[in-house]
Amino acid sequence: MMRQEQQSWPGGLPNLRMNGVIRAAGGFYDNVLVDGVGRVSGDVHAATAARVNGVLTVEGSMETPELKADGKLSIEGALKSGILHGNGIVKTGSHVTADSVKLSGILKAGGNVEAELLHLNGAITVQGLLNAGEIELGLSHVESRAHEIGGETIRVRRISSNSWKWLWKWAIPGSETRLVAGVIEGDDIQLEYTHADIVRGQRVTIGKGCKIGRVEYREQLTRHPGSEIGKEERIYG
Amino acid sequence: MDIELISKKELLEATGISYGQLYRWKRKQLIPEEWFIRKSAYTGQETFFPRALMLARIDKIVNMKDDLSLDELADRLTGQQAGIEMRKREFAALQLVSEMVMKRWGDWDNEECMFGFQDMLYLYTVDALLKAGEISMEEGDTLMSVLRNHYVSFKGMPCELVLIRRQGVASFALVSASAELYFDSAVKVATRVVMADQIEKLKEYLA
Repeated sequence: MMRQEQQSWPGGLPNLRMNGVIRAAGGFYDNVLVDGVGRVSGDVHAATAARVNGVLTVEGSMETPELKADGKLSIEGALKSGILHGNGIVKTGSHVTADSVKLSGILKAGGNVEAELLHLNGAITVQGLLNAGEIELGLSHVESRAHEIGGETIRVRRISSNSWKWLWKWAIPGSETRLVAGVIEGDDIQLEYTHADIVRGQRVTIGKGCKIGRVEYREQLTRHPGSEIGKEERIYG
Repeated sequence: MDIELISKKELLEATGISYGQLYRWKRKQLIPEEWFIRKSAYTGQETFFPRALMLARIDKIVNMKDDLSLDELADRLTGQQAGIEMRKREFAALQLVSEMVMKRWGDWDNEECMFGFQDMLYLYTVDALLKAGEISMEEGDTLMSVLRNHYVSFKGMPCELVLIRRQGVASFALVSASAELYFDSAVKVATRVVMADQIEKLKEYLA
């Protein structure tokens, strides 16, 4: 069951339609539609949108104004998308740039992540800087990691651990549901179950399960009794 | 010949902007990635910026952001220089570079021929060094050929122009930004020009 269609529109770009188990060439397309298991060699650009159901591996970078991914999407290079919505796993070897990211599942970026809005339920791993206007992380299952986090509003909470937690713990030992970061900087910061070296912000709330080396704040610091803060300092400026 | 740095904390105190704004401007590419210099400090890793460049940039953003959207601002501040072109006649009329320099190095036959941004940048840079009394006209020839032959190899990446003198004899080098250079004691570093500064200034005049 293999079918690869490249419809040509008069004067426009072709669509890339991949059904079944297939390998296709990268390039410029209007729509990229994947159902099944696909592999694209080289960079792929979609002028209108990309839709992935199943598993897609891109051996290069991907650029599209809209990307909906259900399943597993692996991009060896960078991902640039206006909208990135999906369920499942999105993995990139390099930077992720988007306007809006709404994802349930796992986002793994080998570089920086930049977005105006990032809502994620599940887990995130960012090798570099996670920079977004509004960051909302609902942690579940495994540990999330980011080298640096910066933005206007940063909200991290643990979403109710589900009944399969024991299985995850058994499958991946030593992995608590929490966020581990080096530096977190923002205007409004609310954290839960976060381990960080430094947190700096205007208004900072350190919730339960947090372990922070040093907190610097300008206006307000609220801390939960069940949190650990090494040193807190109010900066006037 | 180190560039003076300012820490992120000092910067926010001095300018009154917030972390959120700084990250937003970085996302919008109003502040180039290369200006974020990470160094280890006693509190862990700290970010530093080139002081003069950063303060000037923040000042510009703060003053212009009411009139322009952030995207327009990004174009204005960091927009592709490739798009800026000008006829020789128009460029000469701006009187950014002295007539002498135009005659010696800007000697295209036709008054109507187009100057690319880089042509203007080379003339402007040579002119600036001449005006500052750093180099002589003959050395200007050498500098011009260095710029024409090697500036493009940086492909728009930040670089610096270094002028060294050994017993008065000048040599020019183009090095990537913030590279550290050490010479033997007979060599004197006469001047170091950050090309990004020249680009900024020139763009401002041309805008």
